[in-house]
Amino acid sequence: MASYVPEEVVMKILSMLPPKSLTRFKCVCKRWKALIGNPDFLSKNLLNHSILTQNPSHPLRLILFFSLDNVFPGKEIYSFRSYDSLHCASQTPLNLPPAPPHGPLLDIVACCNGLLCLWDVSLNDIFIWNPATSMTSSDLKVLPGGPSRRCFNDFLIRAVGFGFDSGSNDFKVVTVVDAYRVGWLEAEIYSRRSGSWRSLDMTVNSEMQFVSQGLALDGGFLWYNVYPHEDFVKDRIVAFDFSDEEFRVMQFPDVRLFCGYGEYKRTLTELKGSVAMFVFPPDEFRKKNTYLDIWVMLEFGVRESWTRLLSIRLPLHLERPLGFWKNGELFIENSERQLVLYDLLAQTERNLQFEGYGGTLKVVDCNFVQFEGKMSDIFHRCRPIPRDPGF
Amino acid sequence: MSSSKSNKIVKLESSDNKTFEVEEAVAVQSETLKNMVDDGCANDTIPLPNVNGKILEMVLGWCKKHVDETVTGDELNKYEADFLDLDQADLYGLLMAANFLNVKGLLDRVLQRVADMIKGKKPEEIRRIFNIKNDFTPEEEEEIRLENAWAFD
Repeated sequence: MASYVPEEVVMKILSMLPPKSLTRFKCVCKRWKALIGNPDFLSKNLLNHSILTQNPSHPLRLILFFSLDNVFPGKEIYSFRSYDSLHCASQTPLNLPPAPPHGPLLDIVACCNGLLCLWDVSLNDIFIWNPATSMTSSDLKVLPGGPSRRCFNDFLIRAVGFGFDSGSNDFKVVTVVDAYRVGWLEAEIYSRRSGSWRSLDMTVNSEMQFVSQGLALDGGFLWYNVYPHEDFVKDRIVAFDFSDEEFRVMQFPDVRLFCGYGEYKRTLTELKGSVAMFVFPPDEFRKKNTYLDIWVMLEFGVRESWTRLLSIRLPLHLERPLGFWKNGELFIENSERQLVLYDLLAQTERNLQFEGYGGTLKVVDCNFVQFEGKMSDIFHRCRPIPRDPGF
Repeated sequence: MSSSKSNKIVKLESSDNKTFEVEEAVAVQSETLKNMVDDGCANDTIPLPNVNGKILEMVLGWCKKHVDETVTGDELNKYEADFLDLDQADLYGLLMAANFLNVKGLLDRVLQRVADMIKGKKPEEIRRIFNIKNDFTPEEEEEIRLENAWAFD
């Protein structure tokens, strides 16, 4: 093609390539290897979002700041923000009573195509909320009981996944359930089309713990997981695919850098379509020289493609990373339980004036694909939940 | 038509001696040309020795489309998508022209198109496309391939 391409143009093209291609092109020549191998290059490549890569079919992309209310513990605040500006689209305290029908520990599983899936951890209930249509009708639909609820008096939902199966055009909820009497983990799946649950084969080693919140990604759901292995405990990712309804395991790389983290917390998150993971010290370990490490699985499912993108020394008061915004900025919860935006490259922060309570702050990416009507019309006080299925 | 746009015409000459006349509003879509206009250097024909007539015509077509207020958003999207459906030689010419002329939006689009075209290619093909000499020894290259085997499937 070219007799000569100026280096500045080459640089620009390289910065638009996906990580796998970049890695392969390291062997083109020494100059390219030096450019690509520069740790800053890969971080900037992944952290800087080009306008052209934003999906134009998401006209209403919102981000949800969720927390239990500071003033009235037991109530939740859903603050929907514009993804681009973070300005408030709407804020509503969800006026649900803390007693049944839902308990005080409501958590957000995921938002898929405008539907929010909520998990009442204390009562083992799952809710679906459609903020775009829940004006006059009831707002939170609780899903009917599954096989576990029918068969066992005493059970606990250990993990919940929520996603959209584009093949069958169906929303699905998957749960991993610990039925005490039985002594092992069972899995169940609910589909909107069927309106009911059915049992699934739990093909993965069932002595495992789901330590932190999972991640919805592209027709699947992933959880960080620890499990016993010989004399000690190992970690991995358990992934669920909503189209073939299978569980799969993804191992972490067997490298010293990865294995040395010990008691550090891990949170799965998404970065530009790839699975990423925050590794950071729990509160009791935090001292002057603690770091937040950010890893990315550059090629989905490929163990060796896990790469440590960044290792940053965070100021002491920035405690819990919550997820990425755009252009290399990170949502973090600070020691005052407030939401802060931290620029990883410039190392500056901005307080977003949103407060959570007791570490319940959460940031959820919401794409409202089909939506009509004004945002301001949508969000009203929600009425109590009736116990009928279907959403 | 009452507007604050000047009706000034800018004259351009391509490397193969073709001349083009466009309104200033169209020409200043190119940052390079805009700087010349602002500096008062655009009164005579501006020679563009590194852009041939075929490519220059395409670039000016892009610029005209982007100042045309009658074009809808959808029409523009389709135009931009069709615009980049080019063979490699033209794409290269367009890349060089868009870079030199610094036309907003066009350069990003072309860069993305080139990136999309090359992302699946093997290193040998990349070297051919960009005319790069392989300065690794076979052993060095093999080492890199082994270290990053997952990227070479």
